[in-house]
Amino acid sequence: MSTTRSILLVEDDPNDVLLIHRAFERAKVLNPLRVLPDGDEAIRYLAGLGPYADRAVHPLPALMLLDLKLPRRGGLEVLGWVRDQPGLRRLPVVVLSSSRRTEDVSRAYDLGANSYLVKPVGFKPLLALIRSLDVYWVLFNEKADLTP
Amino acid sequence: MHRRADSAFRFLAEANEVLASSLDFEETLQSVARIVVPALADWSAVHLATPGGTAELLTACHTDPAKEALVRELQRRYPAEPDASASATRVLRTGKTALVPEVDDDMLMAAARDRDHLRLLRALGLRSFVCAPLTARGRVIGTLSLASAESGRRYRVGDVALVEDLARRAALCVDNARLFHDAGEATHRLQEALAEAARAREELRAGAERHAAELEHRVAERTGDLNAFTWSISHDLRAPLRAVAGLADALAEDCGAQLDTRGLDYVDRMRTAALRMDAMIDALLQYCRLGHTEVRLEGIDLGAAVARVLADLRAELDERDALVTVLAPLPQVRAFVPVLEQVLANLLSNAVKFVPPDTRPRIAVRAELPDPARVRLWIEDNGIGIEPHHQERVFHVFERLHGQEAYPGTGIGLAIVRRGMERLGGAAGVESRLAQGSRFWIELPVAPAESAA
Repeated sequence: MSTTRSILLVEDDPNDVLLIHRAFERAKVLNPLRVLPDGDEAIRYLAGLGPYADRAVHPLPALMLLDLKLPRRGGLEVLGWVRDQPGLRRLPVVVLSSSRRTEDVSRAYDLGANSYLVKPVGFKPLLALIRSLDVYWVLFNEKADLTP
Repeated sequence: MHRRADSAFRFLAEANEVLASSLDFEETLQSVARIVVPALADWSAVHLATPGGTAELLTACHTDPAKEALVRELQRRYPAEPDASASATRVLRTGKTALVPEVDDDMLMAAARDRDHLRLLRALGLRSFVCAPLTARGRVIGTLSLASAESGRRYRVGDVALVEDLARRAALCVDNARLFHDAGEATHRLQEALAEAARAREELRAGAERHAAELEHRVAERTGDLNAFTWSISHDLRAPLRAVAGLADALAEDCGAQLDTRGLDYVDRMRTAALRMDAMIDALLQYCRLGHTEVRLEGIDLGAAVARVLADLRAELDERDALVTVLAPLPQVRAFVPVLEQVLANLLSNAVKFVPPDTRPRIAVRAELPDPARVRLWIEDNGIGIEPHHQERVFHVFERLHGQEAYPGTGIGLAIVRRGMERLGGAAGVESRLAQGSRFWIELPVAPAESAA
């Protein structure tokens, strides 16, 4: 079941998107990767608003990979909003950020991030990270029931 | 005469007491005028010098208060020269006592300006009078006049000394009253000055407070700027690096077949450069962070801190088969664990790194107490050493003595050591000679035994 559900990537940097896509292919992750370019789009998708109203076409993801620095609405704000939604508060959210700053890491955990990963430099470490992510969050991690 | 002198002494003693009790200038002179009546005179008057040099009646006393009205009438109607006023003005000018033993009707007629004046002067009934100067601080400030009427007393030359004595005492009291008044003035002015000083101090304090608030605001602003700066570096500056390194890898993997060895070498160099820049950004952020991170000093076990850092560096140490000797036990120090561990990690990492490739790194860690309050921790290596004239430079940001090929690094490690130790209230330094190894040291305050955790 879970293998068919998508993984939502909220990321605005096209190079990161390209490299993460490539890592997903190399790691043979079965879940389709859906990319949203900013915080507002992420919220519209998760709330099923506008073009995302049809849940059959745009189902809730199995996991959200969330960048922190995003146009329009930052990742931390998106995270806070998700944790406030009864139907989304158990959605696994993995922060995927450039920053190692303690403030950023602490704030993300305080707002309810399930994990905080720093985007590595170089493709090999990125591939290793995506493989671990797939194994841990998709294969081993017990899925949460999102219904409130 | 003897009896008279005797009573005069008693009078002076009494006068002194009355005079001493009063510290008000005019009150004093009124007391003088009052106490001489009736013991020494039927009439008494005190005149004060006006700025124009004439005498002005301050007070007049009579045994019969009703007659005082007469003096005031004379003063009002014939201001310049009622009875003794003419004499008073003369005494003011000369400073010498005037004695008129016998006042006869001829004298009154000579002094009277008209019949009414003569009538008033006759009604006054003066028989004899003496007028002495009131001299205070060498200046004649007024006169004291004693006159006889109904009693028929006659003043003689022998009485002059007594009246002068009384006038001198009265003047002294006036002087005291003035001094007291001046002192009062001075006290008042002093109090005003103190109040002024207090106001000034209050203003200064308020100014200092405003200044401190402004400084705080500016520091907050700077901290805000710095935070925004590090945020931007952390989030934005790395993205292009990831692209360069990641795409270089992708290029080698996906298009490697189309590249010759030279092309693959270029790709590898791109990747290495991006990784180095990433490490430098990391180190720079660490360095910036040290400047404004909150440091909480507490008693910690230096030995445990060294052990934790060595465990973290295990892979790095094992790669060079480094031999590390820690001369236990290490003392308790006052420090902030994250900063101290960062400092120790940088020093130990350098100790194993800056060793010639064919030499097995040997590192000794030991502590000494240069004085009872300080701990000096030595980290000694058998590395390449540092020439004396470079020993200060190595602690500066981005100062490097060696090429990336031989000894890769960010050029920030020792700057972090120096800044970190400054934040901990300690110090860092090095003793070294080229090719003879380096002895880096850090100094920290000793932890009081009870606070060591």
